Amino acid sequence: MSEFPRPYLGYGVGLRRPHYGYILERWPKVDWFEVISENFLVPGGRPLSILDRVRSNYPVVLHGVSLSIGSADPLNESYVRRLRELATRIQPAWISDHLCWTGIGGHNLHDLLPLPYTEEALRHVAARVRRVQDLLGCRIALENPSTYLSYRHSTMPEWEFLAAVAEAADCLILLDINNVYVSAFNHGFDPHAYLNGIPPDRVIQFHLAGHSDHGRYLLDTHDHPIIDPVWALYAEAVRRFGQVSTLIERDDNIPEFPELAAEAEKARTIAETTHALGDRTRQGPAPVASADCRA
Amino acid sequence: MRALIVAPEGAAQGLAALCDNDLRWADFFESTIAGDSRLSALERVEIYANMYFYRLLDSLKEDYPGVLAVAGEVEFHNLITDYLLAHPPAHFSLRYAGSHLPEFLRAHRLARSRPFLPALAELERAILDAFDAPDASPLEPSALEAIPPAQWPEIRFLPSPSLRLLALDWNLEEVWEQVQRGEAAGAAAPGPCWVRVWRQEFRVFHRSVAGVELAGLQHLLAGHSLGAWCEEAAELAGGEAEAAAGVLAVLRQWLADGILVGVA
Repeated sequence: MSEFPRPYLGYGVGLRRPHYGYILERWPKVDWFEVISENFLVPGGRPLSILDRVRSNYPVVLHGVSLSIGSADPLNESYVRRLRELATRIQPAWISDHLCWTGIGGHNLHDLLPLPYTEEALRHVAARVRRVQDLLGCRIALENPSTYLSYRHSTMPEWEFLAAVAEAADCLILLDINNVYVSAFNHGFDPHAYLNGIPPDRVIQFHLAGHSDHGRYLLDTHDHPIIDPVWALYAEAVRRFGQVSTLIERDDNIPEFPELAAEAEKARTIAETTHALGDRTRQGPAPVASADCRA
Repeated sequence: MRALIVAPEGAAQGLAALCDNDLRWADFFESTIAGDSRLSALERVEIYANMYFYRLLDSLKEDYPGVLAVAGEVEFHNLITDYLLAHPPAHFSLRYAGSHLPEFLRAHRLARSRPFLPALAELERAILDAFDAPDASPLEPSALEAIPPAQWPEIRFLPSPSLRLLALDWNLEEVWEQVQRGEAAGAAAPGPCWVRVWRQEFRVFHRSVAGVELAGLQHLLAGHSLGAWCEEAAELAGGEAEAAAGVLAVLRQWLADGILVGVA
């Protein structure tokens, strides 16, 4: 596996509408922002204008939810081309989406549905990732989703499938620590085994978020603060993967911006403390201009 | 799996309906989705089914706050259940999931008790479309001063891409104000009502129009010349002098509102 230059963005927060005013007035001290790509694939108006202004002051990553990379439907190339247009305008540090399918038969379920982890699915997804990367002109990062069901005909665990897709398609990995935790609970696997199965050279970003506890299962609702066991798993991820660009996600029950910025600072403290203790420091900061995305 | 996720009464009912047609669905489901002692396979699909509906419901509540306020939570919930069966989302963005709601409402039972609801939905849809319509710089009044008077009858104004002209069957002004104030919405007044919707900077506005302005908007959106509008205005006003004053007043308002973005 070849090494590649990875921009290191630091500790960021997902850009959400309730915080637009605060951010544009205060330009808060946060390293970077991630945005939901689809919210900005619009002809014009306030959202795009705000994104332009935010981008003029911070690195931005485009994070999509509708690529549907695993669907049996034809790849929506029109969507990918519009994503490329947005990337040309915004110049993101990189572009990401999820290892999942979101629709079938021309209908969009607007959810991140799990794939069967089989050799056939692996070839299918890897070929589509390569096509997307050709259309975008850059590598993409795929995120592990939170899942609630699995298929009897899967022949490998999710982490093995994700690692194999990344290798076969030469793409990157956005490792969502909370999703590892949630899926581990829901399916009864060991979250440490998941981390150990992911190749460090492919991981370009971490996600951190809260979830809700429904007793028999955890739901990835992004509506609570990050819980301590997820912070502990994050520390372990930093020990394995080094200092990786980290993003705090919150999509519901959204608090004041400083509360999320504080979570980003907590991630920084954990990561830096881990390094100070002498763990591996494989990844140093690199200028954003060396971003992998050339769209 | 999609059929189970979108089943209006849940995944279990969805599977039962499939099995009514073909019992092999039960075997297929059993051999495809894994369950365990904590959650059965069906309960696991049910999690996705719930998220599907409530994610769309929440999104459509944001897109149609007026329809929600008038219909109430329960009726809106039922409306969206029916709507999603007829118009499952096909676009990559949730932003377009409610595109067909105004036309769907026209034939929905809710429109029998609240007949102005389709018009309210149409207005809210137009507001949403204007919100993220393409950007364009408004025409500066000085650009008009540079045009020789002899050329005025032939010039054509270019409308803002955000401009919409709605032909509604109801006057919604009172209902709209009630919804904005968070009050219980009463009934709208029946009768034809033209409404223009536009975005200025990043704010979307709407107001009813009639007479000379309505004629002007129709000519503007049809790409007709200023002269064509003035001719109709003269007929409406009963004289060229009165018409000129009316047209000029409307033009000034349009320039102030930023709904003109060019002149050709």
